[in-house]
Amino acid sequence: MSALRCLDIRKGYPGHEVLRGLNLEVDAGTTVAIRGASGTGKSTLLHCLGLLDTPDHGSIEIQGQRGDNLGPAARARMRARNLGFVFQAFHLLPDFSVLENIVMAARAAELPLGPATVEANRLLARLGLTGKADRNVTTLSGGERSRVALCRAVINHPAVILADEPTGSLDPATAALVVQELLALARDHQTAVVMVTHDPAIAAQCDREYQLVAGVLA
Amino acid sequence: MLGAGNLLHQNARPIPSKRAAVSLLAVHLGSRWLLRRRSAWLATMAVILTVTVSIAVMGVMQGFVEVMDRQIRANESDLTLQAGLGAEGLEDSPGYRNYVRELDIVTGIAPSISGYALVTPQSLYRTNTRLQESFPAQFDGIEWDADAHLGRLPEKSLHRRPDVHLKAPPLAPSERGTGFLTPSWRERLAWQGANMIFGLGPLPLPPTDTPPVGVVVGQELAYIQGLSAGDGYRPGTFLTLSIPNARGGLVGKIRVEMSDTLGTGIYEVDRYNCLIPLPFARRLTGFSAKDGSPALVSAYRISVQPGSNLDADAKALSDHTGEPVETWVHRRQHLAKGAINTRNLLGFVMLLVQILAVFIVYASFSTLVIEKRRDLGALLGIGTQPRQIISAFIFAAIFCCVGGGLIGWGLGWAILAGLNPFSALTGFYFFPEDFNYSAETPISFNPIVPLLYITSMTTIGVIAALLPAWRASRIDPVAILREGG
Repeated sequence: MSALRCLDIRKGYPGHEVLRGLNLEVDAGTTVAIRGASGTGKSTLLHCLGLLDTPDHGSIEIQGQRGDNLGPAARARMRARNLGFVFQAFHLLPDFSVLENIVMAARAAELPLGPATVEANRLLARLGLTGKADRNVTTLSGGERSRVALCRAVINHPAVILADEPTGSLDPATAALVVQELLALARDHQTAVVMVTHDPAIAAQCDREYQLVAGVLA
Repeated sequence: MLGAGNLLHQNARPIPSKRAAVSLLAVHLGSRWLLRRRSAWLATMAVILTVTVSIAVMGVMQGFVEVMDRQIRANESDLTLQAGLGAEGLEDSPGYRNYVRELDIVTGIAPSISGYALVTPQSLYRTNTRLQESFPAQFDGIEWDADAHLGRLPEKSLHRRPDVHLKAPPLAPSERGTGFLTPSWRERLAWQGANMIFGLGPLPLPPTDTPPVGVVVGQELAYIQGLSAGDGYRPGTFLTLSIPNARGGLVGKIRVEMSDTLGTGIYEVDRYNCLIPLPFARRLTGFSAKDGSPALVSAYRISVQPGSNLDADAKALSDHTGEPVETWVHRRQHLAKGAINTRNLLGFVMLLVQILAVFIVYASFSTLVIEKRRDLGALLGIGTQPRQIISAFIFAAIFCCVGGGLIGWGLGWAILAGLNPFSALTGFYFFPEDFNYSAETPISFNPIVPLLYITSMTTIGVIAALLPAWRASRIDPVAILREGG
């Protein structure tokens, strides 16, 4: 069973069709990089895959379960439990500590707090953030924030991690380190990763690499 | 097996119910936003201010109502047996009292003589033009012990009982009350006592043939005229009471001396009533026994079993005696209801004031939504349910209103507790002294008042936060994520 499968995805805006019958299937533990010029629909695709946006046509399955035709509450639940997100600007919550930001994903998924805290501390230790659990996220460097975002994405052991240019705001060395950690976490947890990136070097580290051209993957 | 289930399998702890999980997240988000955001502080401050003012104002108003209630019940017995239409009065004799007591419901009986007097100041004190005219005053002649047995004249509302021990030092003015000897009579009795011991011989004439020992006229007579204490009617001032009869003439005149306390020692309900001993009232009204006729009284005050049906008791007593009987509710209901209506009206105005706070709560929470738009988008993006977002805002509103309300409760009661000490310290009184025979502001610490306002504030606050909360839950995470950092 594929971790993620989408068939014939079409998505457009008035006067402009961005995705034109796009197909993608990603198995558990497989990493996929999607590249493309600006405006080709990479973020739109990621939003559709993450059940944040609804495609005009086609189907999206997460672990064999249709997600695109669910109601808002069920989509949110599937998003919380089966998908992990690394947003381009990380979108950490500035009013909360590092640990609270990570555990927030478990709380959104309505999971018990105790195991989530244990898991969050384990992830922080693995990513070299031990001792910073109680720091406010606004005091962290860009690299540290990206790693906190990684922890938040994987804490619920999702089936799929969707990363939208997770290294876009980082220097090359830090970016390489972060991607390395992301891929390692995905491999260890047998999580599928779909990553949008402009960087060919980063894309090359993934199992598969696609170009989004004219609304389809090539 | 992938997915969130993995995390659950790692730990044997039970999963909390969805409602509990939603509540936990709501409490976490709501409390943090409330503590970290100045806009939320503004809402809390508005709640504190509104509840504080409401509690302080209503504490005073409720104080007035409670004083009024206390005064009414201190001045009114359960039932009043009156003379029928056209009758001069009721017979005052042990036989008649025993006849009334025959009825099982009667637990106590006290006679009463009511009348009006015209008060004319003596020429010595007519330098003040405001005092030159006579004015009317109502008096109520009572038997102290009988009335006290009925539950009237409770100790708390009275000054000290008369002290006629001649060797006792003079009481402080604030301790002098009903029946206290006026200065001239104290001097006279001192002479009498000395004469009994030392045989001094003929004594000077009594100060006047009236008032008799134990009779004083209090400063309420001055209050009736809107005069403040010490405005001419200082202790020792002599007045003439002229008692009118029904034919336009006078029953008689009597010279009385002003005491330095309220003549009754009791806070009068309507400020037109002074209590005097029954024999004095009988002389003033001509109700003394004469020509073989028994002495009369205007009415009998009756007490009945606590908690009994007063209307039924009144009817039974009326049937028994053939005279009209009124309950205290009938006699004084308008006073109590007037105060309660005024309190309720003011309470309603205070509730309306809370609407102002609602606008601030609404504006603050709307601002909070705008401030937290990016965070809300991220939360919805990672799968937070809209109902969790709504719950967070509702919790924040409840925390804001209950927390602010409790602080307001404390501040409101602190203000109430400080009102009279403040007046005593500064000499600034919020109400005129003759308003209620006391310069002190009546205050109530009845917890119903703050509980009512905190409840209403919380209800209104939650309603005010609903629309911002709903808007927050409807934020499009895609739009937020596209905006980037």
